[in-house]
Amino acid sequence: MTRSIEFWTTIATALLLGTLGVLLSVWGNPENSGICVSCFIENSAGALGLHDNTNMQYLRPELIGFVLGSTASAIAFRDFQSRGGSAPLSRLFLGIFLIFGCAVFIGCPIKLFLRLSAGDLTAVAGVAGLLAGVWMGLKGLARGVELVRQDRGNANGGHLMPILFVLLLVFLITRPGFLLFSAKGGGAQYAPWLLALGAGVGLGALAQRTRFCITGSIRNTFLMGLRVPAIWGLLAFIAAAAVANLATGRFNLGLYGQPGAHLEYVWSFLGMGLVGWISVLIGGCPFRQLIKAGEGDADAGLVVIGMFIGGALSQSWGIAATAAGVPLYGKVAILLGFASVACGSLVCRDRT
Amino acid sequence: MKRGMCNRRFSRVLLLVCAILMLLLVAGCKGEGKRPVVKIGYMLCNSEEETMHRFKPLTSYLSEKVGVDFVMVPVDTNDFEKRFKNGEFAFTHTNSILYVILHENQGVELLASEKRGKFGPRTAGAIIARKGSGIEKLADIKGKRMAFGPMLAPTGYLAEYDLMLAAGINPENDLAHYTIPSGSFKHEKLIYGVVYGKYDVAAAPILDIENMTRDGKIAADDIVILAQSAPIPYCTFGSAKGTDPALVKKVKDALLNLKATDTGEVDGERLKVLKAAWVDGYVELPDSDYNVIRDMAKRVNMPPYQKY
Amino acid sequence: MCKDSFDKFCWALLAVALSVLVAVLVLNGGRDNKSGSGPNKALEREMAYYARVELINKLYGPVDKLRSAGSNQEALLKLDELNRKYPGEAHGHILQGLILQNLGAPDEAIASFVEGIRLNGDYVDDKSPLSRRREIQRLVDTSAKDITARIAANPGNRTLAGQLQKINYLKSRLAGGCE
Repeated sequence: MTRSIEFWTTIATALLLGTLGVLLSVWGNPENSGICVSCFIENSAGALGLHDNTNMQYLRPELIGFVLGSTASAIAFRDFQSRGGSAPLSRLFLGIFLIFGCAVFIGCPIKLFLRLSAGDLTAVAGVAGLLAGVWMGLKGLARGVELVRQDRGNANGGHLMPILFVLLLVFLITRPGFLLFSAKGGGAQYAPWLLALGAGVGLGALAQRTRFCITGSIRNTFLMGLRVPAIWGLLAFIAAAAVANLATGRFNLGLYGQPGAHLEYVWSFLGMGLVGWISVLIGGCPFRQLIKAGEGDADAGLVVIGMFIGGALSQSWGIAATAAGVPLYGKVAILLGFASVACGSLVCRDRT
Repeated sequence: MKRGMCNRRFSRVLLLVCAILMLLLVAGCKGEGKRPVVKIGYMLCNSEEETMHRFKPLTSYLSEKVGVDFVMVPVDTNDFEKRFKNGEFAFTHTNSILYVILHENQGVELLASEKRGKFGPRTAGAIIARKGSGIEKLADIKGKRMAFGPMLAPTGYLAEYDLMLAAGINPENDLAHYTIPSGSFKHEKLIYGVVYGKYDVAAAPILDIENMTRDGKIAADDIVILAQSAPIPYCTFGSAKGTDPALVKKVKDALLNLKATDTGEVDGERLKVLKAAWVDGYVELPDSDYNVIRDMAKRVNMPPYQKY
Repeated sequence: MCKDSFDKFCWALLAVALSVLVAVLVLNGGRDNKSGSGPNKALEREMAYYARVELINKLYGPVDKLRSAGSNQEALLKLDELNRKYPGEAHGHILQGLILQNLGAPDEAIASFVEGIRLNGDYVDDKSPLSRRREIQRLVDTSAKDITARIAANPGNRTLAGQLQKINYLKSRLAGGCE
């Protein structure tokens, strides 16, 4: 395995993800949120006026970079292929619940491990939840729960997401008056935009080549053990982030006083559990959905749209957890998410 | 023959119905008098009537939660130690200086401290004057007429006396005279007395000033605070040494778990316990938090450390 | 993708639409913001925010004045009047925390800060004109040390455990994060 180029590109991607995940915080992003796809989506949804939390509005350049980096890489390596038509509406809803799960935990799977590598022990419940969720998703897959197959062809509109993100890039540069930017709170904490965009493009391109994904790594390890490069990639990501956190003085081991964390472990477990399960069903964590959307996957594009809706609703409906804990609507959203996934699994199961 | 059988069957049914009725009657009884009776001594605050009115729902709540019949015993501050010593009650509800006295002399153990006002389980004592009276600082009170609260009032006497001693003012020699208002509602009387010019300065508990401003009886601008003590614990529940530890734990738990929505039954009516008692809740302060009062009592030469 | 006349028409339409779009944007570039006729939510929002800050400073000015003069208890009484008038306003809780801290009641000050920050996180945000981060940080630092010693001396004390939770909440908010 160590002789394959795939192994080393995966390791390189993971090391870069871990290092940039910490460095982007050092350069200005919120603590432990150097890279957090769900936070970025909530921020960007706010910047587009989709919610009114004035502390969470900033069009995150990293997000644009992930998609456009993936598009550039896919085009350069002739990987760009418009495809879609696999349960589009189901994916849209699953995208919404994906963000609800992240919002209740406070962070996407990437941030989960960034938090852990910064010494935040409250994230342990999230790790357990993510593992359990991925395991549940795999159990479903093994028993025939599967969304229908994708079609290939331009009619699927796989090019629309890259175009949308080019438009967002234009917005980021020209800053039209309707765009909202926080003057305080997490939304007002950001790395210099060119640096953030560059990091996003680089990571997007590498992730497109390697298919690196947090939940995918866990899924593959459950399926094939340590023979897959992905698990080594995940470990390299955690190690790089831990080293970067230690080197920049951001390592603070403990349960209490952690940035952007709460002590409701059961809900952290369930939130990440929901994310893990959904990620297996739709083929990747929130980060992977952005990468796939960038390479022409219209189904992943719909998940991304769903994630934007979820990001907006998390803030507007008071679903997102804070350091004070998980609000009632957050708990309701998680339970509804599990109910939806359970119903979907019953309906979409191939029993033949 | 048939009639005899029928009669027998009828009398059996009647017997059964009677037995069921008896059972229902017995089940309906509250079983009063069977539960142990435990007495709580409540130190009178402003008046006996007010104290009983405030703490009846709490006493009823405790009876329901703990499973014993608690009985209220209203006790005058000055008689408290003597009556406790006579074994008239096992639980005590007193101010903090009286708790310290009972703790030091009788071994009373701390159960819970009452939360009320801005300082939670503590409050402060202040020396006040009327705004515009020309008295602007503590040194100005020399030669003035002053009113104190009752002698066993931690924030109506002890704290202020201590503040004066610390500032080099001897209340016994440096004032024109000092007095303690008679009758009930002493603290309110002396605050009104300052606002309406009866006294030049007064020793006023901050809690009473807070309450009177909140109720619109005085305005925040009516008075000037010349000095204020550090916050000290205030009303306190205690239990006699040797009281059944299981009972003490139950009472303590019931007090610490009290929520704003909890009720107690008084004369067939359910009343909100905390609201009726004017209390925000109960907390668990360590006994060492009362050391500040012990130090004050030593400096002021008050019980339980008084030396003649 | 240019097989017949319809393809050519679509390409031409695309070219015309994009050219006109570029022309419209270039010709009107920046006018939107300068004239103020278009939607500039960010500016409007900032103005509303600063107006709010001004109003808060005006409303609570007398309390701040008393506090600065060292008349903390009078400030607390004055603040109580305002808190009854505006019970949901975070600023009242924060000011109360600052006053209680001065009056030697750190536990109650922490409780007030928690209430205030739950209502409005601006008070721990360096970028907000309302920020009281430094004062809150200082109290949290001293209280965190103090509470550890108190808990060690009184194991099982539920009130102290509750107080520790409040301190931890403030520590978490002060540590930052995406909220």
